[in-house]
Amino acid sequence: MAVEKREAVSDEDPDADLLRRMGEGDETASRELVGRKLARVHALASRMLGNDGDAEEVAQEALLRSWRQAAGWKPGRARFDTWLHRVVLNLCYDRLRRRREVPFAEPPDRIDPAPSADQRMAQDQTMRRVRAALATLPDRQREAIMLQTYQELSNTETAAVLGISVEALESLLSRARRGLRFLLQGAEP
Amino acid sequence: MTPERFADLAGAYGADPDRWPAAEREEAVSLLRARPEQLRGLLELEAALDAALASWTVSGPGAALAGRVMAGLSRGRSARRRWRVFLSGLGAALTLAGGVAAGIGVLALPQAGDQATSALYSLTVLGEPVDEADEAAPDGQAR
Repeated sequence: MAVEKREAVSDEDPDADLLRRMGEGDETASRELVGRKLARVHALASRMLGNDGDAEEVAQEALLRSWRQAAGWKPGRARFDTWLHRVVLNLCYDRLRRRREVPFAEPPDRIDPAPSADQRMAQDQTMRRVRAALATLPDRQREAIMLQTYQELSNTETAAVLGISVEALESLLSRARRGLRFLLQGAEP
Repeated sequence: MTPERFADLAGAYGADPDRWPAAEREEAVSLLRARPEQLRGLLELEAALDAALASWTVSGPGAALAGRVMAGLSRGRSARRRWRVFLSGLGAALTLAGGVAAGIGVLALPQAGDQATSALYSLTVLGEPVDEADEAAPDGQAR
Protein backbone atom coordinates (compact mmCIF):
# COMPACT_ATOMS: atom_id res chain seq x y z
CA MET A 1 0.00 0.00 0.00
CA ALA A 2 2.78 2.44 0.95
CA VAL A 3 4.67 1.59 -2.24
CA GLU A 4 1.56 2.14 -4.37
CA LYS A 5 0.99 5.46 -2.65
CA ARG A 6 4.58 6.53 -3.31
CA GLU A 7 4.31 5.58 -6.96
CA ALA A 8 1.04 7.47 -7.28
CA VAL A 9 2.59 10.54 -5.69
CA SER A 10 5.65 10.25 -7.95
CA ASP A 11 3.29 10.41 -10.92
CA GLU A 12 1.79 13.62 -9.59
CA ASP A 13 4.95 15.31 -8.34
CA PRO A 14 7.91 14.95 -10.69
CA ASP A 15 10.27 15.96 -7.87
CA ALA A 16 9.09 13.42 -5.30
CA ASP A 17 11.69 10.78 -6.13
CA LEU A 18 14.45 13.37 -6.26
CA LEU A 19 13.55 14.57 -2.78
CA ARG A 20 13.47 11.05 -1.44
CA ARG A 21 16.96 10.42 -2.79
CA MET A 22 18.22 13.71 -1.39
CA GLY A 23 16.78 12.79 1.98
CA GLU A 24 18.75 9.56 1.82
CA GLY A 25 21.96 11.51 1.31
CA ASP A 26 22.34 10.91 -2.41
CA GLU A 27 24.78 13.58 -3.58
CA THR A 28 23.92 13.15 -7.25
CA ALA A 29 20.33 13.98 -6.33
CA SER A 30 21.51 17.30 -4.88
CA ARG A 31 23.33 18.05 -8.11
CA GLU A 32 20.20 17.16 -10.03
CA LEU A 33 18.16 19.52 -7.87
CA VAL A 34 20.50 22.36 -8.71
CA GLY A 35 20.34 21.49 -12.40
CA ARG A 36 16.54 21.34 -12.39
CA LYS A 37 15.70 24.35 -10.28
CA LEU A 38 18.52 26.89 -10.13
CA ALA A 39 17.82 28.79 -13.35
CA ARG A 40 14.08 29.07 -12.68
CA VAL A 41 14.53 30.10 -9.09
CA HIS A 42 17.12 32.66 -10.12
CA ALA A 43 14.84 34.05 -12.85
CA LEU A 44 11.98 34.65 -10.42
CA ALA A 45 14.25 36.24 -7.83
CA SER A 46 15.93 38.35 -10.50
CA ARG A 47 12.62 39.81 -11.64
CA MET A 48 11.35 40.32 -8.12
CA LEU A 49 14.52 41.99 -6.86
CA GLY A 50 15.98 43.64 -9.97
CA ASN A 51 19.46 42.86 -8.77
CA ASP A 52 21.66 39.97 -9.85
CA GLY A 53 23.62 39.70 -6.63
CA ASP A 54 20.52 39.55 -4.44
CA ALA A 55 18.87 37.11 -6.83
CA GLU A 56 21.84 34.75 -6.58
CA GLU A 57 21.76 34.86 -2.78
CA VAL A 58 18.02 34.16 -2.71
CA ALA A 59 18.44 31.30 -5.17
CA GLN A 60 21.21 29.79 -3.06
CA GLU A 61 19.18 30.11 0.15
CA ALA A 62 16.07 28.61 -1.45
CA LEU A 63 17.94 25.54 -2.66
CA LEU A 64 19.66 25.11 0.69
CA ARG A 65 16.25 25.13 2.35
CA SER A 66 15.09 22.56 -0.19
CA TRP A 67 17.90 20.27 0.84
CA ARG A 68 17.04 20.75 4.51
CA GLN A 69 13.43 19.87 3.86
CA ALA A 70 14.17 16.80 1.76
CA ALA A 71 14.71 14.32 4.59
CA GLY A 72 11.36 15.14 6.16
CA TRP A 73 9.39 15.85 3.01
CA LYS A 74 5.99 14.22 3.08
CA PRO A 75 4.39 13.85 -0.34
CA GLY A 76 0.99 15.41 -0.08
CA ARG A 77 -1.41 17.43 -2.09
CA ALA A 78 1.10 20.13 -2.95
CA ARG A 79 4.06 19.75 -5.25
CA PHE A 80 7.59 20.53 -4.18
CA ASP A 81 7.83 23.10 -6.98
CA THR A 82 4.83 24.91 -5.51
CA TRP A 83 6.56 25.07 -2.12
CA LEU A 84 9.82 26.18 -3.69
CA HIS A 85 8.20 29.07 -5.58
CA ARG A 86 6.50 30.24 -2.39
CA VAL A 87 9.82 30.13 -0.51
CA VAL A 88 11.49 32.20 -3.22
CA LEU A 89 8.72 34.80 -3.15
CA ASN A 90 8.90 35.04 0.64
CA LEU A 91 12.68 35.37 0.61
CA CYS A 92 12.37 38.12 -1.98
CA TYR A 93 9.82 40.01 0.12
CA ASP A 94 12.13 39.67 3.15
CA ARG A 95 14.92 41.30 1.13
CA LEU A 96 12.68 44.03 -0.18
CA ARG A 97 11.48 44.87 3.31
CA ARG A 98 15.08 45.04 4.57
CA ARG A 99 16.05 47.13 1.59
CA ARG A 100 13.07 49.46 2.03
CA GLU A 101 13.16 50.35 -1.59
CA VAL A 102 10.50 50.30 -4.23
CA PRO A 103 10.73 47.02 -6.11
CA PHE A 104 12.22 47.17 -9.57
CA ALA A 105 13.58 50.65 -8.99
CA GLU A 106 16.96 49.65 -10.39
CA PRO A 107 17.63 49.48 -14.07
CA PRO A 108 17.95 46.03 -15.60
CA ASP A 109 21.41 44.57 -15.11
CA ARG A 110 21.68 43.18 -18.58
CA ILE A 111 19.71 43.37 -21.77
CA ASP A 112 19.79 41.03 -24.68
CA PRO A 113 22.25 42.03 -27.37
CA ALA A 114 20.62 43.52 -30.45
CA PRO A 115 22.02 44.29 -33.87
CA SER A 116 21.86 48.07 -33.48
CA ALA A 117 22.06 50.74 -30.83
CA ASP A 118 18.56 51.98 -31.76
CA GLN A 119 17.07 48.52 -31.28
CA ARG A 120 18.85 48.14 -27.97
CA MET A 121 17.48 51.48 -26.81
CA ALA A 122 13.94 50.59 -27.91
CA GLN A 123 14.14 47.21 -26.21
CA ASP A 124 15.56 48.77 -23.08
CA GLN A 125 12.80 51.37 -23.03
CA THR A 126 10.05 48.77 -23.37
CA MET A 127 11.65 46.64 -20.70
CA ARG A 128 11.84 49.61 -18.32
CA ARG A 129 8.21 50.43 -18.95
CA VAL A 130 7.17 46.82 -18.33
CA ARG A 131 9.16 46.72 -15.10
CA ALA A 132 7.70 50.04 -13.97
CA ALA A 133 4.17 48.96 -14.87
CA LEU A 134 4.53 45.68 -12.98
CA ALA A 135 5.87 47.57 -9.97
CA THR A 136 2.62 49.54 -9.72
CA LEU A 137 0.45 46.44 -9.57
CA PRO A 138 -0.82 45.18 -6.22
CA ASP A 139 1.45 42.43 -4.87
CA ARG A 140 -0.94 39.58 -5.59
CA GLN A 141 -1.52 40.65 -9.19
CA ARG A 142 2.22 41.02 -9.76
CA GLU A 143 2.86 37.57 -8.26
CA ALA A 144 0.20 36.06 -10.52
CA ILE A 145 1.83 37.55 -13.61
CA MET A 146 5.33 36.55 -12.48
CA LEU A 147 4.34 32.96 -11.88
CA GLN A 148 2.02 32.38 -14.82
CA THR A 149 3.73 34.48 -17.48
CA TYR A 150 7.43 34.37 -16.62
CA GLN A 151 7.76 31.16 -14.62
CA GLU A 152 5.28 29.47 -17.00
CA LEU A 153 3.51 27.65 -14.22
CA SER A 154 0.14 26.16 -15.13
CA ASN A 155 -3.01 27.76 -13.78
CA THR A 156 -3.37 25.09 -11.09
CA GLU A 157 0.29 25.40 -10.07
CA THR A 158 0.09 29.19 -9.91
CA ALA A 159 -3.13 29.05 -7.91
CA ALA A 160 -1.50 26.60 -5.50
CA VAL A 161 1.50 28.87 -4.92
CA LEU A 162 -0.81 31.77 -4.22
CA GLY A 163 -3.15 29.67 -2.09
CA ILE A 164 -6.23 30.56 -4.13
CA SER A 165 -8.70 28.89 -6.46
CA VAL A 166 -8.17 28.82 -10.22
CA GLU A 167 -11.21 31.08 -10.59
CA ALA A 168 -9.66 33.62 -8.25
CA LEU A 169 -6.38 33.37 -10.16
CA GLU A 170 -8.11 34.13 -13.46
CA SER A 171 -9.68 37.18 -11.90
CA LEU A 172 -6.26 38.33 -10.62
CA LEU A 173 -4.61 37.76 -13.98
CA SER A 174 -7.38 39.56 -15.87
CA ARG A 175 -7.17 42.61 -13.64
CA ALA A 176 -3.39 42.57 -13.82
CA ARG A 177 -3.37 42.39 -17.61
CA ARG A 178 -5.98 45.14 -17.94
CA GLY A 179 -3.89 47.36 -15.68
CA LEU A 180 -0.71 46.59 -17.58
CA ARG A 181 -2.32 47.24 -20.94
CA PHE A 182 -3.52 50.62 -19.76
CA LEU A 183 -0.08 51.55 -18.40
CA LEU A 184 1.78 50.31 -21.45
CA GLN A 185 -0.38 51.96 -24.07
CA GLY A 186 1.97 53.07 -26.75
CA ALA A 187 4.82 50.76 -25.69
CA GLU A 188 6.14 48.77 -28.60
CA PRO A 189 7.80 45.43 -28.20
CA MET B 1 -17.12 27.04 -25.09
CA THR B 2 -18.78 30.42 -25.56
CA PRO B 3 -17.26 33.59 -26.97
CA GLU B 4 -17.53 35.08 -23.50
CA ARG B 5 -15.49 32.25 -21.95
CA PHE B 6 -13.01 32.55 -24.83
CA ALA B 7 -12.59 36.24 -24.00
CA ASP B 8 -12.14 35.40 -20.31
CA LEU B 9 -9.39 32.92 -21.14
CA ALA B 10 -7.56 35.31 -23.45
CA GLY B 11 -7.90 38.10 -20.92
CA ALA B 12 -6.40 35.99 -18.15
CA TYR B 13 -3.79 33.88 -19.90
CA GLY B 14 -2.90 35.83 -23.02
CA ALA B 15 -3.14 35.07 -26.70
CA ASP B 16 -1.33 31.74 -26.84
CA PRO B 17 -3.79 28.84 -26.41
CA ASP B 18 -0.87 26.68 -25.26
CA ARG B 19 -0.91 28.74 -22.07
CA TRP B 20 -4.63 28.15 -21.51
CA PRO B 21 -6.06 25.46 -19.21
CA ALA B 22 -5.58 22.13 -20.92
CA ALA B 23 -9.19 21.06 -20.38
CA GLU B 24 -10.52 24.00 -22.38
CA ARG B 25 -7.84 24.43 -25.00
CA GLU B 26 -9.25 22.22 -27.74
CA GLU B 27 -12.73 23.72 -27.55
CA ALA B 28 -11.28 27.22 -27.60
CA VAL B 29 -9.22 26.54 -30.70
CA SER B 30 -12.26 25.01 -32.41
CA LEU B 31 -14.31 28.09 -31.59
CA LEU B 32 -11.56 30.34 -32.97
CA ARG B 33 -11.56 28.38 -36.23
CA ALA B 34 -15.36 28.67 -36.42
CA ARG B 35 -15.51 32.41 -35.66
CA PRO B 36 -12.20 33.97 -36.67
CA GLU B 37 -13.58 37.43 -37.45
CA GLN B 38 -15.21 37.70 -34.06
CA LEU B 39 -12.28 36.44 -31.99
CA ARG B 40 -9.05 37.24 -33.84
CA GLY B 41 -9.09 40.92 -32.93
CA LEU B 42 -9.33 40.01 -29.27
CA LEU B 43 -6.32 37.73 -29.58
CA GLU B 44 -4.31 40.43 -31.34
CA LEU B 45 -4.91 42.78 -28.45
CA GLU B 46 -3.67 40.20 -25.96
CA ALA B 47 -0.76 39.25 -28.22
CA ALA B 48 0.51 42.83 -28.14
CA LEU B 49 0.61 42.74 -24.34
CA ASP B 50 2.25 39.30 -24.42
CA ALA B 51 4.99 40.68 -26.66
CA ALA B 52 5.59 43.64 -24.36
CA LEU B 53 5.82 41.37 -21.33
CA ALA B 54 8.17 39.04 -23.19
CA SER B 55 10.56 41.95 -23.81
CA TRP B 56 11.60 41.73 -20.17
CA THR B 57 14.33 39.14 -20.25
CA VAL B 58 16.74 38.32 -17.47
CA SER B 59 20.10 36.66 -17.68
CA GLY B 60 20.59 33.20 -16.30
CA PRO B 61 22.59 32.57 -13.13
CA GLY B 62 26.31 33.21 -13.33
CA ALA B 63 28.50 30.20 -14.03
CA ALA B 64 29.89 30.14 -10.50
CA LEU B 65 26.52 30.06 -8.72
CA ALA B 66 25.86 26.35 -9.24
CA GLY B 67 29.26 25.61 -7.73
CA ARG B 68 28.56 27.82 -4.71
CA VAL B 69 25.19 26.15 -4.16
CA MET B 70 26.75 22.68 -4.32
CA ALA B 71 29.49 23.79 -1.94
CA GLY B 72 26.84 25.00 0.49
CA LEU B 73 24.94 21.73 0.27
CA SER B 74 28.17 19.81 0.75
CA ARG B 75 29.00 21.79 3.90
CA GLY B 76 25.52 21.03 5.17
CA ARG B 77 25.95 17.32 4.52
CA SER B 78 29.32 17.26 6.33
CA ALA B 79 27.93 19.15 9.29
CA ARG B 80 24.94 16.82 9.46
CA ARG B 81 27.22 13.77 9.46
CA ARG B 82 29.34 15.24 12.28
CA TRP B 83 26.17 16.06 14.20
CA ARG B 84 24.84 12.53 13.76
CA VAL B 85 28.13 11.09 15.07
CA PHE B 86 27.99 13.49 18.00
CA LEU B 87 24.42 12.49 18.84
CA SER B 88 25.28 8.81 18.71
CA GLY B 89 28.26 9.37 20.97
CA LEU B 90 26.25 11.51 23.36
CA GLY B 91 23.49 8.93 23.56
CA ALA B 92 25.96 6.17 24.35
CA ALA B 93 27.76 8.27 26.96
CA LEU B 94 24.58 9.21 28.73
CA THR B 95 23.34 5.67 28.73
CA LEU B 96 26.56 4.58 30.37
CA ALA B 97 26.48 7.43 32.87
CA GLY B 98 22.91 6.70 33.87
CA GLY B 99 21.02 9.38 32.03
CA VAL B 100 17.94 9.28 34.22
CA ALA B 101 19.94 9.88 37.39
CA ALA B 102 21.65 12.86 35.72
CA GLY B 103 18.27 14.38 35.07
CA ILE B 104 18.33 13.87 31.34
CA GLY B 105 15.70 11.64 29.80
CA VAL B 106 17.63 9.31 27.53
CA LEU B 107 14.39 8.35 25.87
CA ALA B 108 13.87 12.03 25.05
CA LEU B 109 16.98 12.11 22.86
CA PRO B 110 16.28 11.70 19.18
CA GLN B 111 17.31 8.56 17.42
CA ALA B 112 20.06 9.02 14.89
CA GLY B 113 17.74 8.57 11.98
CA ASP B 114 17.62 10.99 9.13
CA GLN B 115 14.31 12.67 9.87
CA ALA B 116 14.81 13.18 13.58
CA THR B 117 18.44 14.14 13.06
CA SER B 118 17.48 16.66 10.44
CA ALA B 119 14.92 18.23 12.75
CA LEU B 120 17.25 18.47 15.71
CA TYR B 121 20.11 19.56 13.46
CA SER B 122 17.99 22.35 12.10
CA LEU B 123 16.87 23.42 15.56
CA THR B 124 20.33 23.70 17.00
CA VAL B 125 23.06 23.96 14.40
CA LEU B 126 21.44 25.89 11.61
CA GLY B 127 19.57 27.99 14.08
CA GLU B 128 16.58 28.82 11.91
CA PRO B 129 14.39 25.79 11.63
CA VAL B 130 10.98 27.17 10.97
CA ASP B 131 10.64 30.63 9.68
CA GLU B 132 8.14 32.57 7.73
CA ALA B 133 9.23 31.15 4.39
CA ASP B 134 9.03 27.55 5.54
CA GLU B 135 5.80 28.13 7.43
CA ALA B 136 4.26 29.34 4.21
CA ALA B 137 4.58 25.84 2.78
CA PRO B 138 1.35 24.32 1.54
CA ASP B 139 -0.59 22.01 3.83
CA GLY B 140 0.84 18.64 4.52
CA GLN B 141 4.45 19.48 3.92
CA ALA B 142 7.31 19.12 6.33
CA ARG B 143 8.17 22.21 8.21
